[in-house]
Amino acid sequence: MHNRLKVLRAERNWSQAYLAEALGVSRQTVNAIETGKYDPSLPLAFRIAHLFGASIEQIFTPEETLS
Amino acid sequence: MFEIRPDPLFRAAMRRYVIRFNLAMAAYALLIVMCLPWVKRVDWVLGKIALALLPLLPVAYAVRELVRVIGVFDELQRRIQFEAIAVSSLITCFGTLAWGLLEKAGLPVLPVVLVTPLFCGIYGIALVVISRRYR
Repeated sequence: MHNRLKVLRAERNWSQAYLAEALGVSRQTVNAIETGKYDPSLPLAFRIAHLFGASIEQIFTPEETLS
Repeated sequence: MFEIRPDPLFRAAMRRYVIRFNLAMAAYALLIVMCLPWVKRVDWVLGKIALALLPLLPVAYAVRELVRVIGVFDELQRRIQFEAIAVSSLITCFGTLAWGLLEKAGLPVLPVVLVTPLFCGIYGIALVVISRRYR
């Protein structure tokens, strides 16, 4: 799963630690999502989308869609 | 069931857990050294049993602290814990089964009391290796 989390975070000048605290997860989790090493659960994906004021599809993209 | 914990609270909970877990393991090691030599010397059966099981008290405390700290883990941390426990369970099961079979071929008998420390050691290594996959 590809995602724009890092880009969206950078646009708001947020640190990973700040984003982690806002989402109620560890910084390790935020880093793993941004680097594509971990796909968030649906509740976490919804929290992320709500935090950035976007839909889940605007933030997360399945790999097949890109190819 | 699972509450959301912001990162600083999680770090504080982990620090508390590490301190308490290490204290429990130190108490366990001390009780092993102090109690087990007396088990054979005591004639009273209930006394033998009590002395033999006394080292379990700090282990029970460590398990309680582990359960408490898992409650503050987020989803990725729980996944890492689950994978580490699964890997260490499989390796311990396979390893002790293999050793049991090799005992028939002449290998020394594996003391049952070593199985849990073996499991914990493999779990610790698996935790480090699996955590790195998500960096």
